[in-house]
Amino acid sequence: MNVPAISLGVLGGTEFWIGVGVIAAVYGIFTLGLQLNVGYTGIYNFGQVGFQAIGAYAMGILVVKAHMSFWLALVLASLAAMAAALLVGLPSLRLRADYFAIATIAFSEIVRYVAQNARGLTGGNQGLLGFDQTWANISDDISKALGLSFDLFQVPLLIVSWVLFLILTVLMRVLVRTPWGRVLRGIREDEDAVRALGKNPFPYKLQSLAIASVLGALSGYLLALDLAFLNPSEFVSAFTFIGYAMLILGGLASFPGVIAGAIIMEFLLEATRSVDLPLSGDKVAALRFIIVGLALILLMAFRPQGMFGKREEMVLGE
Amino acid sequence: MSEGAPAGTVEAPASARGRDGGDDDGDRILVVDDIHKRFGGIRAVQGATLDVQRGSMTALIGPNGAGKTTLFHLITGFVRADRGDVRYDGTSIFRQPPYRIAQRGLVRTFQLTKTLAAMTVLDNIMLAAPDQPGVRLSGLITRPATVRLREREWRDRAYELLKVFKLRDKADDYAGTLSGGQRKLLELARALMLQPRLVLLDEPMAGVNPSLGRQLLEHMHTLRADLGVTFVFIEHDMEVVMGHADRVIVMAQGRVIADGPPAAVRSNQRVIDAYLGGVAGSGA
Repeated sequence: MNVPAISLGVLGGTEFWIGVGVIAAVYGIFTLGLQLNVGYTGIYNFGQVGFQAIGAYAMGILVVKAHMSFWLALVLASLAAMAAALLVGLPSLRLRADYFAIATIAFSEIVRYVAQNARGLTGGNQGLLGFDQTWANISDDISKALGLSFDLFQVPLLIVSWVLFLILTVLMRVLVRTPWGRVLRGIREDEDAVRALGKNPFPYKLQSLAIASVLGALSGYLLALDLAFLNPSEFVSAFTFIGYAMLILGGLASFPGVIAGAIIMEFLLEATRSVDLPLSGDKVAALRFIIVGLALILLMAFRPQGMFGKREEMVLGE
Repeated sequence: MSEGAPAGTVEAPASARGRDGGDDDGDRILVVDDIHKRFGGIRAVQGATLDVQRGSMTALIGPNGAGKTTLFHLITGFVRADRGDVRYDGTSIFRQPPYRIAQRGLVRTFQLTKTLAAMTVLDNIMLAAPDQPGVRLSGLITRPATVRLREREWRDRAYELLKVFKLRDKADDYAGTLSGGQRKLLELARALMLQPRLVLLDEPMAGVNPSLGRQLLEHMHTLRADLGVTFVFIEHDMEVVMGHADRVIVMAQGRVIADGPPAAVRSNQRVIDAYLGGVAGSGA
């Protein structure tokens, strides 16, 4: 077996790829928010994983500690993520783009450290369990209705997450084509021009961030259901940058691009797991990221606008 | 009439009193009163006082560094003035944010055009549409039918404007692909979409080829005649200034040094001195 090869069957076949599909939808929804911020508003939100963490933890805590219903917890946790977006955005969206990026990445690190250390609420590194009973029942019902065998237990989550991802993608696409979305694109191009045309950019930037935070929270709920467990290590900044990789791969200012980016990026990340090389496990693990990085470099070199981005917009947007 | 007016107590001429609903400034759509701006040690504008007649075509001229562009920034709120006052249509707009000033119908263009390069020409103009509830999320949700209706109405208006400025067949092109002159036209068209009453143009003719420049001037005259739009423009080409402005305001070293009909300004000794690099008695 000394021939390098990618064998899709190695890691358990169908169940494995169902799991990959769920994660692709989770980070796809996550990246829809980045697309709205970066691709349409021109604000560099580097703290998306922080909003995801707030959504997921708020939901988990409300269910486990406050014994709230799962559905009410989803609503309140989404509001919590939105409140966090306003809290971060109000002072820092007035900053220049690069400082805003720094402020948001700091925010997401603060969220993670709080999750790690507020053990009474979050369980710290021990994690938080037991918030997914409502979903487990729904999942069982779907499995029964579809007559799925036990090893396909993730299929209901796959269906729900992809249906949600596709609905949200369409919704975002509709939203950016409204007069409201036109103002966002104007802000991306030139804030002063927008001001001169009678529109105040600030509330638009805040709304863009707030919507992204809710998308982040939604991806957090799905991630929490997928893992059935919340742990601070799921919310490190590297995940924000995987989102950016999906964004760039699919192309800026394109929502269908996010779908393509999410599928391909997750496929690359997971398929490279099973690269069959005469190396030790940790070396293969490191190699995965080298391969993914190389793929991104090649993409930037030969198709900088990504798969669905428009080259003109990229060149003219300078 | 602006020179020597005491700060804060500009009286409207008796003949103008009582017009336009009794506002204090009468025929003067814009009154700038003793406005000051320092950037660190540089006094960019030091006590400029001037007014603009409703329906006029006023040129703002002066040597480089006279403070003309800064004055535009101060009037339109893009730069915060240190002190002074700006009144537009009888009410103070001093230190109001730029977007609010634009909403009131005082619209400006920029010396270096601010076309939104990666948006289409049509979207550039549509962005300026006032009275579109769909620019707010709440409007999109509560009044979707009105949003669609207004969108159609404004699109028709946008195409009309593009036709006037000979950009109709460029509507779907990215604005970044336009020539410098076409961008100036687009910026004026976009400003007009706001249905302004006063337009401040910062060097509208700079970098525009002569035939496009002539078109631009023709449009300005037409708009003034048809809609009563008032224009103030910064311009260095004296032929344009003398041929098209009915009033010329001259700035030097952050102050207004002369103000009057083109012929009078041309023979004004202070103006001649300022342009020849003299001190023009401004105390510097």
